[in-house]
Amino acid sequence: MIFNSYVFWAFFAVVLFLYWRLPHRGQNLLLLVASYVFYGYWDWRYLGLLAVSTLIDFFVSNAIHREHDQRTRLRLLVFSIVANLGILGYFKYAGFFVKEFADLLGVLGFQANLPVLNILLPVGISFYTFQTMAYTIDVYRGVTKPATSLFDFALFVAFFPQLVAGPIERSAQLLPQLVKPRSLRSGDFAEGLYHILIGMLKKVVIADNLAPIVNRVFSTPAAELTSADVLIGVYAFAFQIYGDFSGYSSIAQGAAKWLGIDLSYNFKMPYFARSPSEFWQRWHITLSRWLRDYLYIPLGGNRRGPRRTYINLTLTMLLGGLWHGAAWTFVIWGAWHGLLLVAYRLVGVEKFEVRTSAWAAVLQAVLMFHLVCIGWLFFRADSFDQAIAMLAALGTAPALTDYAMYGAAMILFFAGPLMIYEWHVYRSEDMLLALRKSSWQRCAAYGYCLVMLLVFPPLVQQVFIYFQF
Amino acid sequence: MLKILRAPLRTTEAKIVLVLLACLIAADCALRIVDARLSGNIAHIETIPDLVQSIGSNAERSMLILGNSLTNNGVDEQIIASRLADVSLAKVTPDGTSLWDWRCLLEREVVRRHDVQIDAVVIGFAWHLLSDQTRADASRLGALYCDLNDLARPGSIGLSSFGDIGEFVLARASRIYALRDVLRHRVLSLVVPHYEAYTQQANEARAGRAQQQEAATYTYEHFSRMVASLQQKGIRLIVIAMPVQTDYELDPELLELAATGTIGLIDLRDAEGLDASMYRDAMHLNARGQQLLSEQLAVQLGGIFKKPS
Repeated sequence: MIFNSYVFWAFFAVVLFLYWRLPHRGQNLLLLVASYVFYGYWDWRYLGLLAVSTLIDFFVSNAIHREHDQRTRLRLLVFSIVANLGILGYFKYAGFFVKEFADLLGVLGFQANLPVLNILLPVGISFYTFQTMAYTIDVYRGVTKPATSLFDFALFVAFFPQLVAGPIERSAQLLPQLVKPRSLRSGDFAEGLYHILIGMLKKVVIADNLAPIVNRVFSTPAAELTSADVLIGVYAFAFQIYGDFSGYSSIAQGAAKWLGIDLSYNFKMPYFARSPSEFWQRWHITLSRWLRDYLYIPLGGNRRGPRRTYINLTLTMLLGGLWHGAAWTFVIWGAWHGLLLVAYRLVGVEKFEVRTSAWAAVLQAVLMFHLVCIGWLFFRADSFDQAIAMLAALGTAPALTDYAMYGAAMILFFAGPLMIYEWHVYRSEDMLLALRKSSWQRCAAYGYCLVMLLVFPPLVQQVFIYFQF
Repeated sequence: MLKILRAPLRTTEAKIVLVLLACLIAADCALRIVDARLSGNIAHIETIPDLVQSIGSNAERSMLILGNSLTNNGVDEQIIASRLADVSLAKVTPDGTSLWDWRCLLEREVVRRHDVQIDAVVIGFAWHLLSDQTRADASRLGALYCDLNDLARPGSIGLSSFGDIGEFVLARASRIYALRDVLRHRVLSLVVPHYEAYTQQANEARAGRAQQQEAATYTYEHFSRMVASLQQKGIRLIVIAMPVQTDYELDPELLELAATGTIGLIDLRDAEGLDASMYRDAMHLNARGQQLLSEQLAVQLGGIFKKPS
């Protein structure tokens, strides 16, 4: 069940209708059942995996909380982490590592007849695994208390708006909201509507209309592409993935808001970031925070001198890349971002983050956007060789082709208005800027979203890119 | 529940939504008045009731030629009419149509109408466009060819998922959504250079991919029901296998229906004298091709039409 489908909105309407008629316990039970239906609609066989992950972390976290012996607590934590990463590793990485190992043996001259593993990746496994792992680590650290009700905890893991593609919520943020009775406060309807409309616009109008341009450029042999074609393909992908993923997060936030639950912001105008560290404070924020709190800081963060900081940054970003999938292109994408973080630190991060004139900020943002785009080239490419060949094509003499002009105009038409609005949001630092505007301005903005959704849906509907992660 | 929702419903946002809905309804009504001016295809669809009426309400024998752009480009009704002098004839060929559109259209304009009586319906098709496996365009069905009553049995008009039904209902309710392809094309052709050329390329690539996705078997259950429905009203159905530049096979179930005399089949896939120079693209005939094909078709229709049905 995907957000840009009729079946989801019919399902959500039924849930919403029943939800506000029920008392608090009934609401939670309804949400839990709805979440399992939502997940099972994709493939019911993986419901068991979701339940197992829930049970492990519920019982282990409670055991950790009860236990006073530090070594036993640590053993329990290690058990939970191994179990979670074991499930994730098997489904997400086993096929990749078996193939790479077989290739390595082949290079060394050994004949390896290892089985080919074609394992179907359960949708959202990376998201809910990271959420439950963070919960158990937080209980171990004493940051959060364990859930006392299995049903509440199961809902925390499976809450359907954010189950399959985040935001990756912290227990301290989401669990208390589930445990306490909820009400629809003044402004919730408006905020939910705003998030849903802008999310649908990003996904349906921007991401899905740019997808054919991206697919065409990335399926054409690099030798047949001019630098302008490659540039347009990468720009289109930058806006496609942003529209796709931030659109999903926004719809999740809006749907949750109508259920009286606040979810975290996952994106805050990342393409106006002026440095890599600012970019990661604005792009997939909940994953960045997760990596910072559960990987970078435990590795030592920036407390052990510059050299160790650089190693920690690179290692964190490498693993962040690998989180996206079992492919070398993701690893290189992560390494590239690690390299950018290190390079900007070497130059002096503060130079880029100090408030300067609007023009200087624009220039810094344009530079950062292009550095991010180089990363996207690796992220989207089918192979390392393709990415390198496309990079080489970028270096050829500029030749403006008909297709590049077509692609550029499509990007401007679909993504341009949103980028103008987001620039104002970025400058005002107000994520709900539209809601502070006059009724007529809001009416015009919503009207724009509605007309674009009605008249410019994509010719072919696309699934959400981040479902594969 | 109402108590809980009272506060949000009283908000400015709810009023904004209502104003927007009112504006959308007004725009929709305006579009319904002028939509024929937006595209020749829509204008043609709007003339269908009158076209059917014109041939179905007189004493002469009548024939409705039905199809999509293959038939529109391939069949010249003037040539057919000149050979079948005592037959009144109309050509209805809206773009992109297939079994499901034709079924709804025939039900609505021919079978259910008591004021028209037609002797024969001739449908031009290619590939598997008459089979149950042909993909239905729910939006087009909802907006242009079917009634809401048809939704009672969604399978009978090719709607196979909840998404299809949603699309059907939305297109039925909103003319803006139903005509989105036309509006999109109009706007983007103005602001995006080379939009038409690249959209055409993308559409052809998609059509090519769809053709490659061959079903294991092609069944004709819904087509047979359509034939039975026409026969109940005394209408004979004749299908024409139209020529395209690539070869295609006729499905066994369709051949069986022709062999048993349930339908008439005119196979013009390899029409004599037709060559590549008579096509304007991979599938549509040009004027020379149309003339040649129409003359051969007229001869064959003449032969079939003289026989009592």
